Amino acid sequence: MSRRFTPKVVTANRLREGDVVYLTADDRWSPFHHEAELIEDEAHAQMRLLHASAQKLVVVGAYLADAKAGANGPEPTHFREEFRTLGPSNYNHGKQADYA
Amino acid sequence: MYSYSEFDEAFVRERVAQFTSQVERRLDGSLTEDEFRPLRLMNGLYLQLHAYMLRVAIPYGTINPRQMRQLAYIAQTWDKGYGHFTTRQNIQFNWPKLEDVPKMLQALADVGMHAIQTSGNCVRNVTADHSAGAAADEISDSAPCRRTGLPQVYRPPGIPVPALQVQDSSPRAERPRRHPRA
Repeated sequence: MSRRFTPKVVTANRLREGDVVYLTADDRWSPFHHEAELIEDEAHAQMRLLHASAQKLVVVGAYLADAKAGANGPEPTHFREEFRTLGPSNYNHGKQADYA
Repeated sequence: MYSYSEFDEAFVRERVAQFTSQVERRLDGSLTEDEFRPLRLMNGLYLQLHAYMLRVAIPYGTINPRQMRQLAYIAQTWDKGYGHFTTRQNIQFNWPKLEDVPKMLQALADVGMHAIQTSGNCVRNVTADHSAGAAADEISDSAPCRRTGLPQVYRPPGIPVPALQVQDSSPRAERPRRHPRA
């Protein structure tokens, strides 16, 4: 019996700024995790990753990250990804500061 | 203070020019990320969890006021107005944009500084107590040792450093260990 697919989002860093971004369902790169497309099908996830990886002049290091559905959109399930949604955890000087 | 020879300064300027071209080629797609990654790392530029990070070398952890003011200028002009000093007494800028990094390296070169040999498998720095040579209660001044040691592993920039014998005084490692570049 095959293992159940864990939902994913496509994430990467912007080439020019290095900022963390997420691929949305309408093919934008958003800085907000909750705007990402939550992908629940494995084949579709691979297609979206290929689509992201092909954008070599826009993003760097695209990959699939585990996520789950939340009240306001996808939420990360791993602490590493949670850090990436916010910025450094010592005090507000990352995205917390920029988007507050 | 560590100061460069004319050869070193010319080398650093040449590396800045090379990296400026490499960044341009990465941004126009002539270089892939796989090709560009080792080039940026050789110039102290990482892509970390949240953003790019440029690590700048501060030999011995000592700088003069002109260099300190230049670091502040770089932080205010191309970063968020601050940097982080590292445990090896270098400094990191954590929010630069890729296209600004060549300008940052140029500004560093203007005051005899650079970011070469600040990443990867290499000697990052030779440090000592910041009050060495000035503390009234010190048994011996370690500053001459660091001044002797650093040039052996740190210059000229970009030239592979020799193997280094490291004596670890802990009971678990009584014999000297041979490290290829660290």
